[in-house]
Amino acid sequence: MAETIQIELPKELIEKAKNTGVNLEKFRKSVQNFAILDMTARTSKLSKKDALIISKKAKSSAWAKIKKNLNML
Amino acid sequence: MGKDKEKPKYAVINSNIIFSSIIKEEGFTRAALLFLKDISRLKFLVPKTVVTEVKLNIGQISRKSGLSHNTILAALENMLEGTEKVNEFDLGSEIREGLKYVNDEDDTPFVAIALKFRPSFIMTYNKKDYKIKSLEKLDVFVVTPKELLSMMDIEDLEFESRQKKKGNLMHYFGKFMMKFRKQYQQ
Repeated sequence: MAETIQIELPKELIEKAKNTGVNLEKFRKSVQNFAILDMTARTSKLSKKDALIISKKAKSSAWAKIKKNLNML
Repeated sequence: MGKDKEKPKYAVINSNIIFSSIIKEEGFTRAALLFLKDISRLKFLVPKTVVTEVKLNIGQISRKSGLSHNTILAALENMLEGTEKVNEFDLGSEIREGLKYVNDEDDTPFVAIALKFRPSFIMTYNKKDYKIKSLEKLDVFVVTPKELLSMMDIEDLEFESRQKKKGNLMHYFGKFMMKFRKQYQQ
C-alpha cells in the first residue's frame, strides 16, 4: 500500500530561492516530481542492461506495427 | 553544430532514456531531464507507438525491477509529463526517409520525428544505431544525455555533484535552481 508523507524543504534553500526571485510554486512542483521518481528508482532492481533489452523489444514491436500501418512490409 | 545555425528547439527521447526513470544508477540523468523538461526552451518529443509498447511490457519491467505495475506506470507518466507523444502513423514520408539514416531499423521512428521537427536532437545512450554524420547535415544531432547537458552548460554540475555531494538530492536541486534561476522567475 502506498503511503503519503510530507517532505520539508531546507529553509536555507527556501531563503536562497526568495533572495534570487525564484518562483517557489514552480520549484516546488519540480522537486515533488523528482522526489517521487528518485524514490521509485532507488527501490528498483532494474539494471541498465535489462532496461536496454526491454527497450529494444518495445522498439521492435512498435516498428513492426508502424511498417504494417504504412504498408511497408 | 555551426555557430550561425539555428539552435534546436526539439529533443526526441529514445526509449532507452525513458527507462532512466526506473533505474537506480541514473539519478543525474533523471534530475537533469526533469529540469530541462520543466524549464528549458527545449520541447521534448517521443514516438506514441513506442510509449504504448513500453507500457505493454510492464509485466516484464515489474518482474525485473521488483516494482508494482502501478508504481512503474506512475513513474513513466511522471517522466513523460509535458512531453508530446507524436503519432508515427502520420509521418509516412519521414519514416521512409528516416530509414536511410539508421543502422538499426527499429530506431527509424525517432529519426522520422527528428526530421519532421528539425533542427532537433535525438537523445540516446546508443549513438551507434544512427548515421550521425549524415543526420548532422540535415540538422539532426544525435547526443547522449551527458552531451546534451554539456551543450546546456551544466556538465560541470555533474562533476561537482559526484565529487562533493554524491547522492544528495537537495544538492542537485540547489545547483539546478541557481543555474536556471532566470527561467524560474516570473
